[in-house]
Amino acid sequence: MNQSDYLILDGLGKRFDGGAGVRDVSISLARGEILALLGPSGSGKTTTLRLLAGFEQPDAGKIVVDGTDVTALAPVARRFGMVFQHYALFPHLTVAQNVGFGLEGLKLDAAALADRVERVLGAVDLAGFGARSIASLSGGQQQRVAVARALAPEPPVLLLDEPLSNLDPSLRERTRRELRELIQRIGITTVLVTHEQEEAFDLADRIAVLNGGRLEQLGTPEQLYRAPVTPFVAGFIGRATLADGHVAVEGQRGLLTVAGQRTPIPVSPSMAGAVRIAVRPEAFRLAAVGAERWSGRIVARRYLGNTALFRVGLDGSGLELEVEGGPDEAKIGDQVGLEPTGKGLYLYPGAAQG
Amino acid sequence: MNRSGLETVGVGVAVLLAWLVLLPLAFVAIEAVSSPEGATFEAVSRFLASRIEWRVLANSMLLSVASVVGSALVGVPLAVLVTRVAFPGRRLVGTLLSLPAVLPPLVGVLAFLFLYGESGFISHLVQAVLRLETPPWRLEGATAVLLVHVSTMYVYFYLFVRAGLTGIDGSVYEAAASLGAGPWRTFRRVTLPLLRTHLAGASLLVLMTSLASFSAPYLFGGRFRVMTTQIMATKLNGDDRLAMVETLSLTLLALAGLWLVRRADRAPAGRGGSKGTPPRPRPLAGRLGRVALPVAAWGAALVLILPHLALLLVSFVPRGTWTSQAFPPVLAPGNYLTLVRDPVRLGPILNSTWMAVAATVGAVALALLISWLTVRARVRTARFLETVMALPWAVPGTVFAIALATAFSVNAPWAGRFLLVGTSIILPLAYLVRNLPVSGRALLAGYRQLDPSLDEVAATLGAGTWRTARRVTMPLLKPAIVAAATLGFVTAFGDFVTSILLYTYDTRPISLEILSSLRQSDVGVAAAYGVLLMLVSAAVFYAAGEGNQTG
Repeated sequence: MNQSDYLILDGLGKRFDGGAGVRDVSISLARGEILALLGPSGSGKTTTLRLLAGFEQPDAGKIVVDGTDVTALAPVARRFGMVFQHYALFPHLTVAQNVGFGLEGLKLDAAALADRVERVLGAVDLAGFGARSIASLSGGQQQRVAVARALAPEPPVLLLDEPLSNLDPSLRERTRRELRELIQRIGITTVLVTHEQEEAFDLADRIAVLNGGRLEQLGTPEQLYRAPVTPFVAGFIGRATLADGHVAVEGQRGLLTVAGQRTPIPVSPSMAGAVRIAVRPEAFRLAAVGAERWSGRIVARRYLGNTALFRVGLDGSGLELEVEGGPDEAKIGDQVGLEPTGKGLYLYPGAAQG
Repeated sequence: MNRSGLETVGVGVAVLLAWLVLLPLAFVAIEAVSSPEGATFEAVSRFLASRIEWRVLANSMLLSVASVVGSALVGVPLAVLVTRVAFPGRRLVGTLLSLPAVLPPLVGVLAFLFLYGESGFISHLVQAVLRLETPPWRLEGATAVLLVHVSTMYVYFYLFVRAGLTGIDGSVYEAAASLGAGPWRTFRRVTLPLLRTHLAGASLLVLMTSLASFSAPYLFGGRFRVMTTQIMATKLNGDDRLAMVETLSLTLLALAGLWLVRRADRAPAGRGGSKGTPPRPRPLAGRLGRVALPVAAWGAALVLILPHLALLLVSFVPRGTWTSQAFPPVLAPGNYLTLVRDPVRLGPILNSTWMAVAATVGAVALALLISWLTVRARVRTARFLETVMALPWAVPGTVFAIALATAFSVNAPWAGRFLLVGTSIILPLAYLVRNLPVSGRALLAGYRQLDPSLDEVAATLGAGTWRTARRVTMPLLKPAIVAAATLGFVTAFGDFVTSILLYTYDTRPISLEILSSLRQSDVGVAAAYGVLLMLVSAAVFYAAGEGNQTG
């Protein structure tokens, strides 16, 4: 067995009547790897997680854990640890009873059970909270109880459904760091669902970007940012403006035309013809107006401290690009030229698609 | 269980429900137009041509509308008074006023009888003071029935409006005041619209309860007939076919009422700021506020509670000892001892107990299964299950009793009919069907509030169906189950409407023993039974409340 084949999603498909199904999702995870399923709502990320937990049965494909096909197993038999978005803590049980719930089947004696519960609570920094009622806990504490409860039976895989979305923004960053440390310390293979890029970047080793039920790209945060394979990924990961253009190749030179304006690009012969482009703020820098250089007018400026984001309305079109620059480089109303930086501009064959 | 297994259960339960609820009603319709010679519209045309029948139907309708208006006129001001005006004893008055809600209808009727009836306290008092030969009045006719209705049904308006007023954020009044609205305009433009759902809900309950009301018209109606009592009379005359047509007419009237009120309540209710705190009750200024209103509140509470005290007192009056005195000369616990010692008197208590318990257990179990099938398993028959389960609520008790009596008086297993009338099964079965809507509503609501992820998370933690039910679902549904069981038990324990049409001597419940005691002028024993009903109901509600608090 390959090292990166601990958890395998192989061609998973699930159709719903008018809902967010998934098509042909294949992902392999190494033992201890953390994967984020990232996508807008309706992209199928939650469906994928529910397929993993066993709450839904796939129409196609299979799920393999540590060499065992678990596709047909019910959640009870699969026993992946799951943390729900709203935690789904049992309100009528104490903290210790919640955490011990998954250990009840093990027929431990009371002392051993209490010991194990206390150990897990200690791991999430809630030692001594066992006798408390759920209602008496803060949101962050409830989140940690939910994680402790999922981890207590030492599941093969941990599933997290938007684990931080229910927290106060001020708490999120700290909780995220703690969660990451905990997962890494335990070394459990983890799949989490999120719609926030920052959360995915911070928590996951690799990210699967889903859109419309399809896996758009699977990769590390760097791969996704630097080499988005589809316009969707380019627009979803980081900032990017999408537009349609045309590429002409003249010898060693490429020329990209958008809205009647031309700009040179590095040559890539196969690109000739209609293209869909994604433009990151760092793709151009502000410069003087010149030949074979896009030009436009600054329509807005967002001050970010060290830098500023300028919104440039390209001349002769409704298209507006975001361009990063020094905070005092230009002011609203200025006529500017755009000089390519050689990075952050992505071209995809064909015109608009979705 | 897999999907097809679930669907099979869903269909099975749908068939069971159809058999219990729809089939009996269908047979009423069939019997109304059939004779040994085949189909006939003889009874229908007799009904349509009869001025009496139309009169009776109009009586039912007018009585119900009048009951709604009367109950609103009593209940709404009392609710406003208790929630908004501070006066000594406000909480106690508030509690006293809500008591009729937990008592079986027959108890309210009895209590009324013992206070205002011709042999009741007030008439005794008047008779003794004025030294009259005969009781000064007979409490009979439409007015008497309406009085009983208002004095027992105001509680719906009182409770609903009180809940509504408590839910209104005090800041909306401050906002209205800051916009220059006086008290009257605030009431008309702010309070009333916010209370609309509550008023509609109370109106619906009173309307349906009055349409279905049987004990009040039966005991106080005299020659004033409404459709429920008319059906009973026709049935006793042996004119079964006409009784079926009358039953149908009452069903249609009830469904029309239901439809009308639901329609009136369709428009969206403006619910904003429901999270805030209601304004605190404040003492009113002026003589009116400081004296008149509190006195009125206390007076109303007394007038409405007094009948129950009268009932209690009469239960201690030995037979034949109270003739023309203003106050009963002898008070002794003999009536209560009779209930326990005399097997003939004890029998009904045991009957009512076991039948109510059986019906409650059955109704709660069935409602639990149906709620699970509709909310969790979401079987294809879910909508059907939910609708049919709620149906007996819209259909007056008399109608259902007649329907069950009709469907199960014949043995025809191929048509789903069994000979149950005259056996000890029919009454618990009837109670069960009548309890189904209440139990169902409580459990459906309970299930809908349960986060489905709780089931899912239990599964990921290795808990199978059984352990999840035992450790998660049931403990969390307990309040709903207790509420359903409490209401169901109390309703069945004190039931009169259904019982009078379906009982046998061996299964006669408390309510019918009360009736026969009254007929034999054994007023004290009747009152003792009434007090027993009252105490058991109160005890059950109290125990349920305690249990839900600690549990």
